[in-house]
Amino acid sequence: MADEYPYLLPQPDALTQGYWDALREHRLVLQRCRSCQTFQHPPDRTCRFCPDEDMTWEEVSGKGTLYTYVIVTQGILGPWRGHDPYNVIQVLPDEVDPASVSVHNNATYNVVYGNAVEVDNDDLEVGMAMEAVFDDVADDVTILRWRPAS
Amino acid sequence: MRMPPEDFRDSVAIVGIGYSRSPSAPGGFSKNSGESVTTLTVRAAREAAADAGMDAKDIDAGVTYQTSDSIEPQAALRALGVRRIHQDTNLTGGGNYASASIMMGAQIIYHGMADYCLVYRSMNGRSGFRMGQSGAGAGGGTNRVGGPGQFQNIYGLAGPPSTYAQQARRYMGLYNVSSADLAEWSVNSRSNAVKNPRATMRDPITVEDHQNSRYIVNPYHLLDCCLETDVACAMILTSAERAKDMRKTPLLIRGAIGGPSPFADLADTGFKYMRDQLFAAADIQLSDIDIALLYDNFTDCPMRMVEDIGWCGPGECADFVRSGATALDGEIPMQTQGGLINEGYCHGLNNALEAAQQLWGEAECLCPNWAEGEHTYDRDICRQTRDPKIALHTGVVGKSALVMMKAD
Repeated sequence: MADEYPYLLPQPDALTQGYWDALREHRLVLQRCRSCQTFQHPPDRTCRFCPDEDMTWEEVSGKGTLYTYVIVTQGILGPWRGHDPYNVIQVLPDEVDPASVSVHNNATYNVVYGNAVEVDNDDLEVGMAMEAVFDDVADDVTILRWRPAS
Repeated sequence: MRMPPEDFRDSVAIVGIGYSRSPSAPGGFSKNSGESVTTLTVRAAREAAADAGMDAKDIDAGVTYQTSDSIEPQAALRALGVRRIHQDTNLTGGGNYASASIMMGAQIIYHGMADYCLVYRSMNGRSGFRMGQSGAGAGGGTNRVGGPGQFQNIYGLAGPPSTYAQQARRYMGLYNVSSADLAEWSVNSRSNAVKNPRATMRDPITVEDHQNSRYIVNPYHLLDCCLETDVACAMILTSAERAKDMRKTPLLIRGAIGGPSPFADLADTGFKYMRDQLFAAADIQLSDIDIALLYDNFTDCPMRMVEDIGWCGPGECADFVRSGATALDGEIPMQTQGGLINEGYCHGLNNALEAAQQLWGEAECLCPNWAEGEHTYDRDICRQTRDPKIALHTGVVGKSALVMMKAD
């Protein structure tokens, strides 16, 4: 049941429902512009790279490289308190053009945030190859996590 | 066509600075002020007016930046009892405005909208709203998160330390920088705070102390992080022309930048994009800068700026600091009062006030007669740098920056 998962859950909306529906089927999809072919994450109504509004979902391989990571050792957030240390990571999917990555107001666009699993925090390294893990945390929610690529 | 920056250059001056001093907080900084942000603001503003040799009631404009944790300029100037308010600017934001707020105050003066502009930041950053405790899920509530947070916050990102730690780890990974390298920044800054009566953290530290301090969010140890403090800082701006007849030597605003975005990489700072524009606006070369007060919310942030500004190459800042280049008698002294990591956190504005104090030759230190302007330059007790003329002050990761110069 959803309320047994102790951490935060996503609240999908019209713009993001397709992403969460695909994760539920253990597929990773990213929004892509049909006009300029650029991936865009998080999804938006309009393409940031061209004037087009013809956006679609495209399945990607679930392979990527570790863009950055942190290990939270002083959990201050309600649901995570007492569950530290835990990591938070950013992954650049293989299909996404690195030149399309941008940073606005401390948030990285065109990477995918997540947690790394099946790895010691000490073994994480910027640039390492990662692959998607689909974590069914509730009856109706699957959350994307990552592990070192096999 | 852009307006020529030389029209603005040197047209506005800093004429006074002030801290929210009181008997229980003689340097202005404390962990629990027991006062409202209004009171802190008024104390800092009155000290700035006295420093400028003017009546605080003649201030007629105000600029601040805040995160719904402070008092807006209309209310602050009313509490100060000013005769008339001609312009006020209430910015929503943080360290990105640390230099830009001064620039916006200078623009108010430059455009003739007011005569004397108060630029301030006032916060009960420890006893009131704590930046370090903001973040997804803080304080409980619903366990569903929408908007952009559904892709980020659900993974447990927790406020500024984990946000900036992502940048630090990216930087460390790209350029093979270690945690012990970051420690060099803390150690140099602390060596200056030791001689700063205003500073919250005044015990000397070593790289080993840094390494032994607990992790907050790996890669950040405790001693990589700025403090949470209660404090207000204020400065007064007026026209360079009017400043000539005031108490202190005018500190001219030579040029400024604000708002570079986006960055192409999480390890970048604004200087990668707007350094040349700043130097052109201020008509300076890198070697003209005598002291630098860089926004040091966490150690790597100023280190990345040092590299992007061009004092050394990518990943080389730790060696640059280790060489003594950033010490008080080095090539380019930095964080001469200890920075936000050691003096206290007024969202970066205290770094601007420190730059002004240094240019005036008035650095508060442990010299017996520093208040009379007698500095010994004995580095056990004195943190006044030798006759600096031009200072660089920045906002967080170069999201704004300002060059100020002591008038002849």
